[in-house]
Amino acid sequence: MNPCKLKEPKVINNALLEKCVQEQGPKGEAGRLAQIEKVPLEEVPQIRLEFLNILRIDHLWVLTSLTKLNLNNNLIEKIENLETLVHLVELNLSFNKISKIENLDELANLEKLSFYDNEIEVLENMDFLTKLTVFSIGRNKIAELENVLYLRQFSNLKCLNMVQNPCSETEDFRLFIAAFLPHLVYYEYKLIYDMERELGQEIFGSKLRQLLESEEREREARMQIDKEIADAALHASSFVEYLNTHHLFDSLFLNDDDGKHLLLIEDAKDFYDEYEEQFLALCMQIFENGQEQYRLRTDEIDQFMKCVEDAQTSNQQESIKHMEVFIEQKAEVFYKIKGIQKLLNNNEITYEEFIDKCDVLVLEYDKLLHDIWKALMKLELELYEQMEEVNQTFEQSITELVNQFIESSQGYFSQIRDLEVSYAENIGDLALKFQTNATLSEEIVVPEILKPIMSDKDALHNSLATSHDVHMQIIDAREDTLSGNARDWLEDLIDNLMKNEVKRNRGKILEINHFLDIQREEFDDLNAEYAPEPEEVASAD
Amino acid sequence: MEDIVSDIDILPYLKQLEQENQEEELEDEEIRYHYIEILDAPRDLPPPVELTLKDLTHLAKELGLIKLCWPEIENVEFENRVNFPESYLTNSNKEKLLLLYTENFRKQFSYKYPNRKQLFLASNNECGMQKMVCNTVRPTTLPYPEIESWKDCAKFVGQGVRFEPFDIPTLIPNRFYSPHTIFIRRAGQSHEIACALCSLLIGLGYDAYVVFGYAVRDVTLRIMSRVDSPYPPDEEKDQVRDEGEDNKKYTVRPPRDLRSKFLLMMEQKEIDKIKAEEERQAELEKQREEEEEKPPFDELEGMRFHFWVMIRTEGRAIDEVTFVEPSTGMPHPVSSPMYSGIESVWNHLNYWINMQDCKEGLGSIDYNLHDVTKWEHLLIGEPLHWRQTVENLQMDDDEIALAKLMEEKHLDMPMPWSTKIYITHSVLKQKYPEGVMTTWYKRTLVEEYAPYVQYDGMVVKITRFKDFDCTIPTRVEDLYENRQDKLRKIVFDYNTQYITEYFGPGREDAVIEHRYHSKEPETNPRIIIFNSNARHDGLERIEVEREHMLENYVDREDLFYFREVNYARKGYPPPGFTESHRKLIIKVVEKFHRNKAIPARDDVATREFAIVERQIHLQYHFGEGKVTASTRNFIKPAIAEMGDDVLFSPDVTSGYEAEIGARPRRQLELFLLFQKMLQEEEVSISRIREIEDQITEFVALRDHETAFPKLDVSLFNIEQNEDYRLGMLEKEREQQEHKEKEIEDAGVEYLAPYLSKLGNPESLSPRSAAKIREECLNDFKQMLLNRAVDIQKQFEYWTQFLKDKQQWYSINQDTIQEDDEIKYFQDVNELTFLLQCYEIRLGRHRDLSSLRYEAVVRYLNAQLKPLVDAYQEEE
Repeated sequence: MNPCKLKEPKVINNALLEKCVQEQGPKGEAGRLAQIEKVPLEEVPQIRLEFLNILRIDHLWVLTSLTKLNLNNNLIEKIENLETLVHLVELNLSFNKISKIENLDELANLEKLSFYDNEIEVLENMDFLTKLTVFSIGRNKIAELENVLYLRQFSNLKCLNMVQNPCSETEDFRLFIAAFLPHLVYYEYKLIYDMERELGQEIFGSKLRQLLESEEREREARMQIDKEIADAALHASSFVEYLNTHHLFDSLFLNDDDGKHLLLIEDAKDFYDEYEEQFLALCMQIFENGQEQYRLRTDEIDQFMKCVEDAQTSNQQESIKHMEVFIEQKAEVFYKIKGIQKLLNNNEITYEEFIDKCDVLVLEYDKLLHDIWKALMKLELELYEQMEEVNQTFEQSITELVNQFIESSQGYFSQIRDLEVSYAENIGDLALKFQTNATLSEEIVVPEILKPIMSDKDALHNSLATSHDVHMQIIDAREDTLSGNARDWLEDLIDNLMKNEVKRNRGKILEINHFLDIQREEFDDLNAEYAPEPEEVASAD
Repeated sequence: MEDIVSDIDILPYLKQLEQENQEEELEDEEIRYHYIEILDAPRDLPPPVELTLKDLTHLAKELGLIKLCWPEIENVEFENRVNFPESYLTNSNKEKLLLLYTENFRKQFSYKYPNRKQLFLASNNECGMQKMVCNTVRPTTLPYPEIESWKDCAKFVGQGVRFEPFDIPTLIPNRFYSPHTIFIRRAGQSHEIACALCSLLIGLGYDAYVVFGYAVRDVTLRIMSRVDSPYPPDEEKDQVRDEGEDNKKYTVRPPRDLRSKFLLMMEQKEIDKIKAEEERQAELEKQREEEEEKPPFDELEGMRFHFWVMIRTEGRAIDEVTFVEPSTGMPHPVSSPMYSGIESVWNHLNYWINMQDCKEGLGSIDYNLHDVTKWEHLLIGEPLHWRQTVENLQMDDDEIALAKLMEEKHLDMPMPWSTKIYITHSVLKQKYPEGVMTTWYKRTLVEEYAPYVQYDGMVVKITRFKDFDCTIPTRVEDLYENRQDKLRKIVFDYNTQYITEYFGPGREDAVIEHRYHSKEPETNPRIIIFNSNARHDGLERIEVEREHMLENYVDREDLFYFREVNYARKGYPPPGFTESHRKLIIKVVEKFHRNKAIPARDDVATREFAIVERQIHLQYHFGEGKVTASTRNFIKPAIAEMGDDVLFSPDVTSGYEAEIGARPRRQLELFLLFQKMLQEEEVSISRIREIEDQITEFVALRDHETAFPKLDVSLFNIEQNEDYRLGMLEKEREQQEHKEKEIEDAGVEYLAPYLSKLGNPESLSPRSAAKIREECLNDFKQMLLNRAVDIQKQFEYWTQFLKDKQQWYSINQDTIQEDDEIKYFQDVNELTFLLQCYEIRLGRHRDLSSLRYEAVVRYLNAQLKPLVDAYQEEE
């Protein structure tokens, strides 16, 4: 054969895939069945595309349920087009010409990954492969020892191979691995002993400590942020997010320059502090009230869910009981029919007798079907009615709870508004007094920034009014968000409740009818051979 | 004979007198005419009796008199013991003083309270010496952690000492053995056991007292057949159903009940009637039982003396005042109906007399002994720590000191006369006298054995009876300890004829319960329950019968939990099958829990391998809220077609899909499933065979364990650990041998070789004696000389060696290494020390030689003299 032909690069296409699937599919009887049926490509669980001189990864998007992919010993230079293979657990890209790790972010289920004998220089772009367990990167071009530290983030990584890389040529590389990858169990497929780990920790002690400290700091910072986000999310479900912090109060003065400037007046700070204190206390009350109400609501929902579940399970159990009885009776009827069919085949009874007996059994079976249908439908109807009723009760009480919450919150908000009004008055008085004093005596120095406000009475009045308005708006907005969110949530909840119930009911009725249809079909199939004309019976014999 | 008759005759007489006295007094106040009637009634007085000394002593005893004479007691022999300490045989002066004081107290008391029963204040000890009761209490602490608490201690005394009832139940006892003696005899009367128990309890730090009072007949005679046994029958535990709070709010309304109310009512009436009848029967039965259990009429009720122990709360922590019955060791609350009155209480510090009325039962009286209106005490100001000193502020130091001195100046209790209680550990371990105790409780016979007494490790055998007279047994329970096969209990039920064996943890096969029929174990179900946590296959229960086997599993990873196997009847194989030595399996049913990780349509709930029918039926789990579940049936091809690759066609399988609109299963999938099920079938069958083997093995093992029981012995058990004891004996023997050898060495006969030269003669002539002496002395002299020469030689050799060494050093001083130099100096040091030693030895040898020589001369003279004397006598 022509050696050049051997080296001829190939592309992945449908024909190639189908060929591989067939070749690698089951053998023997299973293979025969597979060939008759043609397993569609999107259901193939694994495929090997090795020694095919493939240049580019392509056309694999058809194999959507692939869990194991071998692309070793090809001519691939770039990792690409693997985004759709999200179920992939095992990926083998060894003996290729890849120079950069990339485009693996979607493969979150990946556990085994091999880049053996490639041209990779840096370990990167693998942050989303959290399940990585076995990783082989031997015979590559990794020169920097720091690359190993990148692997510290994979807590599931148990087995690593980095043989024949520039960085792994040093004598104590194995000890380095042992020290810096504490979760790792095997390196180069050999067990890492505790002794090696200790030795490594001794040798690289200072570096390891530094690393650990910086990691600890990072982790803490990350956790802090995570916690804040989680808290906010949690509080959002009780509609009082950020009310336990300065957030709302700070936002009052965020865009209110005049308000801020007015604080420069002597004694204004006192009012401000007092205002802040009372404001925050009220916010905190809203927050606590919100948490408390949230608990009440979840309790209510839990109770409701439990009852609904109980009712549904007991209903289901009863239906199943009916069903079991039916299946027994059905088996009996089938047995009888088979019995008389046998008698007919052996010519022990005449066809007329057979038909008579058959008719009796057909009637019996029809009655059975009707009975079970009636029983199941009755149960379902009962359940539906019960559900409807209980849903209404629940709707009422949960609405009441939400309204209660909104009303109590509104009460607090009006207190906040009162606070704002009195604060505005205080500040206004103070500012007026200050202005009067400033105009009367020269001793009082008006800060530069206050001068435009203090220029005349109207300006002062204006700025005071705007400041007050801004504050009021912000407070109103927060109140609206709170009640709006709560109402939306309530609506959603109730809507879903209704929808789910209707869906459940339809599904159940469909199921019952489907089952009975199948039962009827089965029975018809059983009789089909014998029913229509006596001639056929004769020919069948 | 006469004496005894008169002794008994006098009793009823006295009693009658007493009764009449009381009656007269009573009726004096109440019904006058009655009194006359009584006076007029013909009286039946016994004939006057002549008073002998014996009668008088008896009378004295009855009156509780204390003898105030101090006879000498000699040649005591009491139950094979003759040696008694001095305190047993005499009364010290202080004791005499105490007795005098007590007698005085008794006189005053009986004068002041003439209607009170006599007090029990003093009695004779085992040597016949009169001793005060308080002195008999001997607080003792035993060094055994086993009896550290009052409950353990009481149990030990109750079990370990046999109870002897009083000869005459209404009379105070005329003997009072010391607690020490009680544990030697391991038997005693109630006051002696109570005193012994009290001594131990005080030794443990409890505030314990001996109580003197009255008890019911059963207690004073230790009749237990009306008492519930301490081993209550195991009752089926009522399952406490924790339903949580019913939240009514959302509970769905039940569907309307459309049945006829009238019919329901009639049915209910019928049921109620039957129930009422049953209840009536049960009530009757209960009444009958109660009647049966009632104690017989006792004419001496309330007059039977008894002694027991009271523990108060002032000493070591105990929740409330508690009584302990000395005959059984069981604790009882103060309100117990067993005890009907208290006369007095005492311990080693004082004696208190109850001044309260006991009519309302003992639960109602006050046990605060500090209260002098309720408890009259014998010694003033005792015990010391109860006293509250009121210091007069106006007194100066001297006066205070004097007051304190005066406070001490009064009579307190003398030291107890009895010796300390001594109990060996083996006695403690033996628990019961002779290691066995048999007690008839209510409808129960309990035989208790100390551990290691029975060869099969049985410690308790409980036989329960249906009737009060204990004739129809219902259940036998044997409890075991220290069994190597971890057997803990065997229960035999007479009704079901079932034997149930219970095992502790630690068996290799993890069996914890084994039930089987005693007569026909083959035809009745045999149940084996395992500790599933200890088994790797999670097996929890097996129930096996001739044609049936049920297996239950828990917590398995594959969620498998149940298997049922049906066998063909022996001798009736289904057509087309032949029987082998194995039981023929007809059908296997296996069940699995729901695996939430995979959809319900792929999660098999039940699989049935109908082996004879050659079919496989699968039923899948129900989906959420679904009322139908998918099923799948396979028909296996004939055996002839079952090669490596079975041909598969759609005809061999059928099934129902519960999920509407789901993709129908592919032939390939079904084929793979079929293949898998075929494999599973084989696996299941081999598992079943394994289980069968395990059962057979287990039954055989049980038979062996029952036939040859083995007991475990703890490493620390000195009494029973045979290895340990042998080791100890061996060690002792070695020590003994070593000692003997030393003694032997000391007793070397120096003359022996010389005498043996002459043929060990019985006697020696003075001449030959002189010769021997001469020889011997010469040899000794030579030996001394040799030794001196030897030392001298050694000394010279080492001196030369040292010199050589020093020379070598002075030559090589500049060239030698540092290490060698250090070594050289060490060597020199050692050598000089050695030489010094030789010098000293030589000096000592020289000094001692003459002394030694003289000693040998003396020795020889002494040894030879009898021989020479013998010779002269012969002459």
